[in-house]
Amino acid sequence: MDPQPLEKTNPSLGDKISVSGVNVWYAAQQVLFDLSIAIRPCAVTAIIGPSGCGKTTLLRLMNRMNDRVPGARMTGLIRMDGRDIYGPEVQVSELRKRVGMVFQKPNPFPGSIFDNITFGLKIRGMVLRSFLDDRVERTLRQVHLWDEVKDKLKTSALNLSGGQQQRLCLARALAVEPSVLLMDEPASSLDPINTARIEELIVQLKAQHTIVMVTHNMQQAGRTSDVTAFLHKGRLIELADTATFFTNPKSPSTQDYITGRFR
Amino acid sequence: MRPFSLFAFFERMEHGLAQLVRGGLGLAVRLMTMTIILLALVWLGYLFWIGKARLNTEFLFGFNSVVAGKAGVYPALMGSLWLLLMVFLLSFLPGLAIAVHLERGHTGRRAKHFISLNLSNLAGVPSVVYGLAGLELFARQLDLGICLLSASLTLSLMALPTVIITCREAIRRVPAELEDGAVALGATPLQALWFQILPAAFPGILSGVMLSISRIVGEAAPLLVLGAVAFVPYAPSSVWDYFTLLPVQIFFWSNQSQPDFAPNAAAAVVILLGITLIFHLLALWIRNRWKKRILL
Repeated sequence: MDPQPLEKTNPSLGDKISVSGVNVWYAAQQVLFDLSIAIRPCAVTAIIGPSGCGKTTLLRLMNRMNDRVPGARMTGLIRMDGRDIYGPEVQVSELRKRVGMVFQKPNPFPGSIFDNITFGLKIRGMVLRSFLDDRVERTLRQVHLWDEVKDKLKTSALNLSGGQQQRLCLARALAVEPSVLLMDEPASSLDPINTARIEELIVQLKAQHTIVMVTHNMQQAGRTSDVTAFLHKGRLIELADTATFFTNPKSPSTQDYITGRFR
Repeated sequence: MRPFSLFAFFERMEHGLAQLVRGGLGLAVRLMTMTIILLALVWLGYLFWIGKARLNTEFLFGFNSVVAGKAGVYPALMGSLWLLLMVFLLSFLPGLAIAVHLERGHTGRRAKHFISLNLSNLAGVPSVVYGLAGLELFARQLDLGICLLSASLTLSLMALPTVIITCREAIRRVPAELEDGAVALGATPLQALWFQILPAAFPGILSGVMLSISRIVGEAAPLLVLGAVAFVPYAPSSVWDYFTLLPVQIFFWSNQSQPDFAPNAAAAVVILLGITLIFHLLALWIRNRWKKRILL
């Protein structure tokens, strides 16, 4: 079959997620302006920018968490694997099963470590005990938490430290094998050691997952990401390979931001 | 002289208060608290003392009689237990469902405000008014007659506003991050509600429901209006039966002209308090077990 027509109808093929011409309003206030960005598969895309620039909003569009914000309105097109994720036939819960999310503040469920990781599997109807056991061990090893908690899987996740809780939340998201992983400042509530661990993990995870990460920490973006996007006042100012982005930024306002001269 | 400053005034006041507390005010407050508790205990002891002759199994499992020394509390006790169970069944699930709908459903802001306002008003309506409403609505219009079912429906109606308000409060206290976490994993709103939000809100829901229901069970006024009778020779065996209840029985006994009935009333009060106590301990136990399951 000739791939050419498909290319034409779908110029975004090859990108994991393509956001095109997106505007977002909260009540009367517009927060994103005609924003377009392509997310490369199996790579880490970092979104940076000053507070209130709309980076979290952009992230939450990709798994439609913004649907839950009262008064939020959106126009434009967001495709994942070539399909419109806001299309009428799309079931939001099905979309979110393929697009995992890790939040800024660790939010483990009040229950055991085991229950935290298996919740996502159970709502998909995976309840076989041996399978769950395997998956819990595998994902906890993946986030380097297994050795710390292997003897207390049945104890409450709320007793873990902040860093452990955040790794547990990452494990919880990974357990269901999402193809995309969205992270909203995943290390902002962690100390330097735990931050380093999470960053290491992010780099490892991109082998199997497409990762989009919001961060206000430019060093973190530089260390972990392949592509960096700079947002300012709801507009995409610059999008480039991370190395180019930080060494040779095109836009003057990007330059100001990364050198700390921003106001 | 420096100009008056509220900041400095508060600081001086707090300092002065701390000194007062050290200088005996704290002791006075503690003494007052102790006195109140002591008075309650003395009163309870007095009830025990008056009713001690009647606090036996014969009284507990005996039927009513015109002779004070032979009268038992069994029909009233069973009536109260029936009512407790019925009110729980009739008000808990509907109340929780309405609370969930108000908190998580797609109710408009104005409608929600209107409903909240009316709920708080309904929670403050005097119980005798509920009794009259129940008499007309359930006993007469729906033709259920004077029976345990009409009484249960009336009291459930009375408990419902408080149950809804406390359930809403408990659901609202569950942090939004919890639902975000569940939904982000692909849970549908109902799955998030059932598997995460309600279990997290359960201790609060339970305390609220228990509190409002145990208050309801102590009510005599609406049931007097509804036709609870003082002399029922048998314990209810179905919801269609005539009934009497502990508070009603206490009311009638304490109104008797013969002083022989006073011990009966006192003993019945002790039993009523016992039921409430057991009910609360049960709630406490369930709540602690539930919390342990979460916090291990």
